[in-house]
Amino acid sequence: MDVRPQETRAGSSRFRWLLVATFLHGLVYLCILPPWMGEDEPWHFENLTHVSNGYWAKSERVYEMEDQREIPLTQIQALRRFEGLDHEQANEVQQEILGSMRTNHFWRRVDWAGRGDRVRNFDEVAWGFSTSQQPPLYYFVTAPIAALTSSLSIEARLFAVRGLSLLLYLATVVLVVRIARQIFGSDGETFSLLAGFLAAWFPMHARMAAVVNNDVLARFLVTLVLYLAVRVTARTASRKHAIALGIACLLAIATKTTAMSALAIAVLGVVLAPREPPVKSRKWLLIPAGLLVCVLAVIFWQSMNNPAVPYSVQELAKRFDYALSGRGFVEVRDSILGSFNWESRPQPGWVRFVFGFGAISALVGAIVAWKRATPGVERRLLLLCALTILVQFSLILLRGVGKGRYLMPAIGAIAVLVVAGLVRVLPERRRELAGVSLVLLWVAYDAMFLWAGLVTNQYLGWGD
Amino acid sequence: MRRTLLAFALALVFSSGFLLLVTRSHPASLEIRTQPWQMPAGKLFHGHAIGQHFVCPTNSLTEIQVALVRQPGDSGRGLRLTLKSEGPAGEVLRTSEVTPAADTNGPAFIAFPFTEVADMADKPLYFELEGLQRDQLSDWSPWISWRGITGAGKPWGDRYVASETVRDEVLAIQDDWTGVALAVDGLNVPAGRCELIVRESGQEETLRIGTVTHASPIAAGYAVFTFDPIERSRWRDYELEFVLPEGARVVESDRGLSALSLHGPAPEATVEQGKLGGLTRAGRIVPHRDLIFRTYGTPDAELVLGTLLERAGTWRIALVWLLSWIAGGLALRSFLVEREELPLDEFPH
Repeated sequence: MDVRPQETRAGSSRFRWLLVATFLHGLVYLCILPPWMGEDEPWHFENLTHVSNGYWAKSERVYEMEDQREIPLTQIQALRRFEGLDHEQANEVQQEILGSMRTNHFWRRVDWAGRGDRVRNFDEVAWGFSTSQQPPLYYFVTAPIAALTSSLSIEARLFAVRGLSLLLYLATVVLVVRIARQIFGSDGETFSLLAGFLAAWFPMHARMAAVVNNDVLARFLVTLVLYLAVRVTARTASRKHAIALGIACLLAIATKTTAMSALAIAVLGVVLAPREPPVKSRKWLLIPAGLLVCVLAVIFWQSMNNPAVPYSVQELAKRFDYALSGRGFVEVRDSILGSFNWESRPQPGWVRFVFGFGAISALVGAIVAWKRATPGVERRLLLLCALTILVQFSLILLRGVGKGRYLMPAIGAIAVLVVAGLVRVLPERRRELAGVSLVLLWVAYDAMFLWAGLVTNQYLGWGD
Repeated sequence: MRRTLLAFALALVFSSGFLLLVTRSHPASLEIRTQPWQMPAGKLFHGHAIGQHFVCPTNSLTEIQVALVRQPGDSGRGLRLTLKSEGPAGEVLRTSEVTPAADTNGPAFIAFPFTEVADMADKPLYFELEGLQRDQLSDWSPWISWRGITGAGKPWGDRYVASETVRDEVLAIQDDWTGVALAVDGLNVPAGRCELIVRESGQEETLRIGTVTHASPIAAGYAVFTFDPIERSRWRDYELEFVLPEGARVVESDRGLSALSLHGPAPEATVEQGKLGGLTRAGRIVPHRDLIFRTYGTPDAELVLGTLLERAGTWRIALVWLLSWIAGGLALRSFLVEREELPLDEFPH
């Protein structure tokens, strides 16, 4: 006999339909985004191709200035990263990718990439850029897909690897709903589904369903960490959940530096949990443990020459300047709302205005919702979500590169706070209207983003 | 059931409505898209019009927009664009005179509209730009785009320095180094020796001599010195010596001389690129570069749809439209559907 409350059973059906809709929505972006139009895709695909070809161990080879005259910098970085890889193979992979970029009109679409498509290596596309210093997990996860499809064309391989991004997008939305369920409770299923929907239909998030980039895995893992941390705070976590939380944190660190937030979220999840004697007595251990993991993570990234780790005090000071100058905020804002063709064509100003107004309203509403929430678990969970966004945003600013996609690991927290601040905070009789209006606006904005933004820029706005 | 229908109807309106809007959009028929805009050509001198060859991609041509910036000065604000067939000596098809608003200084595209020129598809055309006042310099400066790769460089500085010989050092970051764009003012190319001497760092021997390939004066703009490409230039140090005619000034900042290294393209790609025939100064073609401009014709929804379907593929657009409609409909249904309309199996039996 099924003893679930009626709302939950009805909700589960709506949840399933929402997942079907989310999958189809991700498929839309997978079908429409031309090859290599995901940010940094050529470089990530180059990396995973080397791994799929059997090169994975880190090389200890040292290169001198003289070598840089003979070999392009990006290829030297690949040789330094992958033990056993030789120059000819590194060049061959770049040539295959560049050939496909030419066929798919990369230079006509990306305004900053220069006008000539007769480039001979990645240095001539974007000098000084490489992903060879990125943590390895994403490439180990995607390499088998590339290996299994190695007999297909490069575009088909790219599409197959993008397929994993679609699945991770779907899984992230499932997690967002689960996070919201922990916060809004069993009688708040509509709010939970709304949070999942907002995350799924946020265009730049949905677009990540179609991009080969380690950000997609980082976002999934941090959302998983947030879900587990929420369970810890809500005291619904079992020992298995706690172990999973630890593992997810390590995997996040092995994926991307911007996923370092996972560690802070996990610690916050434990710290914010209501006090109970057995747990309370051990909480202090988390501080040194967290710091130790932080130090080990930094050493790990440093060993890969990851530019996210500041290499000098001056560099760190520059990043603080950047963080305080407001430039980072503007860059994150513009790129998270949608900047087309590799961030070379921003949205019109009115979109920024509307979203700015919506974000401020949601922030004010979330604060009111937090104050109104009964002291206890719900209030702590809302605080955990707010701190998750703060941690993620701080990481971006301290990284010194304001990319909206670096904020995506906090998509679950953002969606929950938007629902809490714009819908749940309202008197009950107005919630339905507010919720439905939000859904309609979201669907309309996504349609505008898709057709008037992405399609128009990708297929009509070609440079000559 | 009614709300389910409403959900799908709304989703249909959104996906079809915005798709329809795309076909009603008015994209440029030809466009130089490049970021950032790096090289102003310098103020427009009477008798030294800056022009551009191009092949008209569509039947209709109604407007040309040119990327411009107003450099400091007090000359007249008016501009004239002359559209000709074939080239500088061709028949004048249209002229467009524009005086941008007083608060418009750019950098921005300035539009030059004219009455429609019809039946122009695939025909070679040419336009040139000059100041409205025939007796004086115009402070407007058009932006030019290099067809190859821009290498190392320092941005436009904050001061002019008068000197007939200027030295600098460069670490080339790409191969096929073929030119240097130097920010100058008051450079009258025919007035004296005007060249760039390139040496390998620490060497006495001259490696290349670069020249400015036109005879037009340059005020507050970049003089592009080009030379035979140095094929293997990457990660090598070079010494530069600019020898300039009397009266020329160079632009500097605290970071040094304002100059950009230019690499590629291959020597054979000097004049034509797609539908672009190249930039001219005083009627003479200047290789490797174009004005930053875009052209427009009469809005044509059929043409836009045709271009979209040709580039994206009919099946792709149809599939995406269908998927976005169904996905939107299902999502809306999740929030619009009423409790009593849920399937029976959702209720306890």
